[in-house]
Amino acid sequence: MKSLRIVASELWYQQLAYWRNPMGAFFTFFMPVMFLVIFASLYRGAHYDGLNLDQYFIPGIMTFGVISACYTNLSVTLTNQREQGILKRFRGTPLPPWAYMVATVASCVIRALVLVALTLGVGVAFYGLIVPAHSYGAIAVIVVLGAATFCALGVAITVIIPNADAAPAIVNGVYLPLMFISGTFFPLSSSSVLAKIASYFPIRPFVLASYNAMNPQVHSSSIHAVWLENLAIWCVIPLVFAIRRFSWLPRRRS
Amino acid sequence: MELAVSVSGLRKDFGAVKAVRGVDLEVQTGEVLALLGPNGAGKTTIVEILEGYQTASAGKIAVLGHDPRHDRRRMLERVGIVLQETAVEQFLTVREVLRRRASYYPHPRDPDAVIDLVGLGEKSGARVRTLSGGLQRRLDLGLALIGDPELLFLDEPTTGFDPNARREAWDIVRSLTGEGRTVLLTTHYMDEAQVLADRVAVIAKGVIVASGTPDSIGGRDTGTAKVRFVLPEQAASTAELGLADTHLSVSPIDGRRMIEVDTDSPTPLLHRLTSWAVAHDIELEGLEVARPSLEDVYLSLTAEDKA
Repeated sequence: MKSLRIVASELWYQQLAYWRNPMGAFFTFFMPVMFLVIFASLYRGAHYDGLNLDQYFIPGIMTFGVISACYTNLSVTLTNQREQGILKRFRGTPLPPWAYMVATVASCVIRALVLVALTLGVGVAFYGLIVPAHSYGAIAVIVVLGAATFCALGVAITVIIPNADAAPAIVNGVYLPLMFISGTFFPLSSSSVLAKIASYFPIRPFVLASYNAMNPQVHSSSIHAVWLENLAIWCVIPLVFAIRRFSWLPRRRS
Repeated sequence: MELAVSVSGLRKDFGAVKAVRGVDLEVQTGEVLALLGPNGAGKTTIVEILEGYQTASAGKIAVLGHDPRHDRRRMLERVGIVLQETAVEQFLTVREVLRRRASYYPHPRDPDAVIDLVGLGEKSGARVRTLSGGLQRRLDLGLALIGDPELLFLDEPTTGFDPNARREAWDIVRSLTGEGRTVLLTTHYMDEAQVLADRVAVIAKGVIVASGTPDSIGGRDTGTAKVRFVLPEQAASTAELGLADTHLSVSPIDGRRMIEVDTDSPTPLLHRLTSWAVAHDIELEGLEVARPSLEDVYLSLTAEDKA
């Protein structure tokens, strides 16, 4: 009970600090929506799988939003806080480290959920996206699993980031190529070599599961267990790695 | 009296580099101890081991009776830490930052009282990012105090301050020590150690080379003193002044001769000198007796180590 109160209080202050930084908040939410609008105009009138192409790439944009909020945001924020000595200061107080981490991750998940609502909302309102009522449960499961996976990856990758300047380069260098070969913004034939490579990594399963969940022509049962297994593996391994190797102290030795 | 900090045989190796080479240190409850030493001497390493940030390679450590590594959480409820660099969330206000920190402690002080104590009353609603460096440092001090700590670690608390800000910071630190709080501070400023500390431990290359009160350390109070004066024209030689048997140096200044005498017993020397002057009705120009300053002692102690 006491732990819950500590986490809730930390979460409150983190949200407060986050929303008061208008530039940071703006870009987190603006980027996915901007991508959505750009791709929608590029793909106007295009079809895929017997559906309007919007029905494919808007779930993709949704996954992009979740990955931005959880993986990109979390890893860059944690690296900056580590190098500035903010994390070190928290380790000098009786606040349990796990409580700080849970609150930080929860902050990112809240942003991810806002982004899911925002991208799907804009899609439904302006681009004829269909989100069938029977798919709500499946979407919730996939979003939660995806958020968990990419948060775990976001924390884990800080271990290999040596300093704050290197953070965006490493974080994006790993993620952007994978995002494109995963067919996040456009359909990719599953028989292509790139798609086969991508299927070993977590982005493509996340994209395909999200697409299938919302596909009005098929049922949620078409979400393959192998996709969820992939996400679960990419959640657990980085999590274990992060728990063992995460550093609260700046890397630079004085 | 109970010891706030007790360290014996402390060693810390970073690979082949021996940063701390066998340190014994005791800090009494209520005492202000300054670890004084040049950069790279091992001050911060020692303090970070006591704070539990680093693990010692060897040695016995007790901080308020706790092992800082294995009993860290309970120790942290009783200590306040000011790190070398200020790093506070930029988008929260002064009061929010203190309230947030207060929620971590079992018996915190009132955040508003702490705000007043560190002189941030007018800034309590201001966001941290709008505060100057000096004000952020005050906030830092406030954050370290919010848990009502029995022991305060201050790692170079005024490095980078302008002289006024340093004096203000000293006032704050002194106002805290009256409450029976123990303070362990590191500094490379002699005047800071002199003003704040009850006791100084000089550290060089990972070992403590001297310790004592700021006034007595390194034999300041008993060691060689310098007596200086301008040799009066009426005196033909120093022998006439009764200084024949002492070690002295003469340097010409403006055509006159400045005499500097090193002596372990300045009292009889001054007696002879002033008796002669009074008997001849002469005012001794430029007469002074100087003990080595803390800086002199510090420089000689840390220089020996380098040799």
